[in-house]
Amino acid sequence: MIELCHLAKSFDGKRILKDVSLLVPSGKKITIIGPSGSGKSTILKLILCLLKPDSGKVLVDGNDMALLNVDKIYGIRKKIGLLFQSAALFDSMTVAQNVGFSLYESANSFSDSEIQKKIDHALDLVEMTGFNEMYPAELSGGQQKRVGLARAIITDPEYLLFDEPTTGLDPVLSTNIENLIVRISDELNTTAIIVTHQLSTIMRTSDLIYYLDDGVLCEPETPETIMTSSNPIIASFINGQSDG
Amino acid sequence: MFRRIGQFVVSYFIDLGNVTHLGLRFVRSMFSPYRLYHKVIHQVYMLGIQSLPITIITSVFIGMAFTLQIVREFEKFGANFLLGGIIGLAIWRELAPLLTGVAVSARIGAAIASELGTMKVTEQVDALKALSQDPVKYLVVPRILAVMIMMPLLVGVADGVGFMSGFFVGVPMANINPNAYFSSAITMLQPFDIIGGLIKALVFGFLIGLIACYQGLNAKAGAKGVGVATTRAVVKTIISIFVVNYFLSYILF
Repeated sequence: MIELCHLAKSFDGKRILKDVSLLVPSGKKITIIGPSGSGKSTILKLILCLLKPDSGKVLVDGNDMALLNVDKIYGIRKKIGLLFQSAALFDSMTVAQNVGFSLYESANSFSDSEIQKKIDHALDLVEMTGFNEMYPAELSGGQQKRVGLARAIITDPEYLLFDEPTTGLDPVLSTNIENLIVRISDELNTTAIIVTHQLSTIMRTSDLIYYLDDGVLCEPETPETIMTSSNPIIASFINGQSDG
Repeated sequence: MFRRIGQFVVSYFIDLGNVTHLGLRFVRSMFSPYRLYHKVIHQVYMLGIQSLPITIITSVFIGMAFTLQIVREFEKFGANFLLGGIIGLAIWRELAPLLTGVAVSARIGAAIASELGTMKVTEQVDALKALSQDPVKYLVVPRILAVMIMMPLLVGVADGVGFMSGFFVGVPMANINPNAYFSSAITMLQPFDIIGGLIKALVFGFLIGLIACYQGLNAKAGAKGVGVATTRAVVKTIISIFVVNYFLSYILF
């Protein structure tokens, strides 16, 4: 279980997150929405301890990330898969090397052939079979995101974090990625936190939806209630998306 | 103006503290078990072997130009028979380590800073961390070790090439017996003149790797940020090499 308690974070004196509290129940898909620059991606980086909060706590399976030493933080990160907004593939490595990176580099007992099988399976899940020897620069944005997703899921993580998984993609690719998120989360029974401002992603992938307003999370909505939300800020955001 | 000077001094000491911290993490990470060997070999090839041409070209022309000046001055005093010793002394103790350090800073320091800077701004460094890999272990340690391994080897090549360039230019110009060139070197020079230069090279290699990695990992967002980090890496490395070279020369020779 992931729990955020009164998180605050500032950049260059500007308070981006003021008081963010969130409990993510196991097996659920939580979506955090909000305008660009509101601090959605910052929340994901705080969960992974890639950033330190100014105040507040991040608890992963009851462990306060701020109190853990570096080795324990790396241990916790092994339970979490993150799909970056830009995919963040290692551009000097092939698709297969990117996807199998965690397995090649960790002190595990997998043989090379076992790792290869896992790579093929992960690429199969994201429908990228046969792209093993290509480099990230040879792939489209959507393909890079799929490879990023395969890299995130290869270790069978308990938690999956998605940072703007469909931003900048055409509607067909967006739908493919959204279906992948739902299918993989269900198949692997993972808890997912999705950060996005894409309405289609919100509607297709979420169990609960939180709106990040001025550094604070509003009361959660569901895909059924969000379209008729009584919160004027959420209504304005959704209507703006629908109109746009 | 005082405010700007104050800001400069504060940022200098912050940088110095951060670079020292990275250096300590490098030392600590070097002794923790992980697949280091292949990464170092890869970096030795990528960074070191490809620096061989620039090292050879630099040392050939430095050796020739230095000999040109020395021969003209020595002729006035009839001291041409000392040519080999003086050229060996200058090249092995000072010129080869220093100028190879400068050339390698420009070639390798820039390459490391721009590569790591690009990885930083494209979130690849964050991706490493998210995949439970320590960027210091994965990126910094192999690069610093590779430069530390390659610098003495490159300086060794520069020692030989520079000395022989002096031979080919100096012997006909000074009209001396070729054997006199080598015998003056044997008489005037000690093995530690070469060893001291190689110790310098090792220290310069550490500085080049450390400063370039630090600047790369602290690049700010965007292509401009990578450019600034690369420029800073080269400038600060070269300045550090010149400063440290003085103190090493004082201590070693």
